[in-house]
Amino acid sequence: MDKDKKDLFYLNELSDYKVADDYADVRGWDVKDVDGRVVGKVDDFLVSKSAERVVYLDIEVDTSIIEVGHDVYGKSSDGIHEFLNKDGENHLIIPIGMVTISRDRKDVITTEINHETFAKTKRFAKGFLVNTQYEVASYNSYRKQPDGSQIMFDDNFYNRQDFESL
Amino acid sequence: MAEIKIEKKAPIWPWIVGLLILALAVYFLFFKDTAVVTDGTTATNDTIVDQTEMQNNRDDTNLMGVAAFVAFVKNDDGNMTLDHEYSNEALNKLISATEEVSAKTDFDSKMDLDKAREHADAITKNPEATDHADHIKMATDMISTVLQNLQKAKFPNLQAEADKAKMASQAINVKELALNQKEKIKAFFDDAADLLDKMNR
Repeated sequence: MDKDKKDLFYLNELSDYKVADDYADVRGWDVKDVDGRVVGKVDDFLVSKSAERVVYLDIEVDTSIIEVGHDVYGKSSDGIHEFLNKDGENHLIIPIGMVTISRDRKDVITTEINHETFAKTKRFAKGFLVNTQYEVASYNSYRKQPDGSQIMFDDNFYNRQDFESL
Repeated sequence: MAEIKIEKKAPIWPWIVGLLILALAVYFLFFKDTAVVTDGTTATNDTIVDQTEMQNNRDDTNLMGVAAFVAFVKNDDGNMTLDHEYSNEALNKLISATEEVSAKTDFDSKMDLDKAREHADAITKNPEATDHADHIKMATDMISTVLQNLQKAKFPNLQAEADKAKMASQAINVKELALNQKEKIKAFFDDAADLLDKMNR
């Protein structure tokens, strides 16, 4: 995928697009962590216009996530700061391939991300123009490599199961 | 693993165009016709009203005297109302018609006709009174006498018609309720109208 060419859009921006028939429009549904705790609600989708599919869920996080972030991760005793989320930064993204959808319960469950990881992930204010730098940062927050290395953005970035192999 | 696809919305403009066409079609099929019909109806009503007004004008203005009385008697369907408005109106028209012919032929009948008018007006003053036949008969007798005298003085060839009107007046029975002898009263008016019509030619 050409990283210089903008291909990610909020679905709300694309007034001539909608969720395809036979797919669940999960906007407004609860998002739960791997332990079943509610961490927020789906506010919007980040979609690939070229692939005509959702790439990320845009989540408005629950106050419990914000409070944990402030209390535990905002300041660290050794002076090293984790991600610093400012007031009003209450959104984050989750790759579509890292969740399952329950139409019966009308909720979205992350398969691997726990509450703590959500709290430590960099957030943004609503309407933030998501860029590759943020994509990489949030993805590395969810999918930590055993050797501590960081995944970089390249042409194969979306060729992962977490993105349902765009 | 979840997957959500998106798709382009169906363009809405064909629906808008379709609805506009449908709305126009409905407008032309119904409202346009209705408007035409309404206009036509209105025009027709106006015409009817105009014609009715013209007719009324003819009755009230153009058809004075003899013509008005003749038209009134011929158009009547015999419905005499309880308050005898019909008899009152017919008598007054008859008196006016007789006055007209009298004036035209220079025949003095004013005194008798004024008395006849008093009897005619008495009919409507008390609708419940039972002496209407008296007043009607008094009025018809006076009028028929005037008509007879007028005929003798000015229209000698109309004796038969004058006598017939006089006899019709005499046929009205004062002892019988006016409503029970509508035919007799009507017959008098018809004979008087026939006589006056011939006098007026």
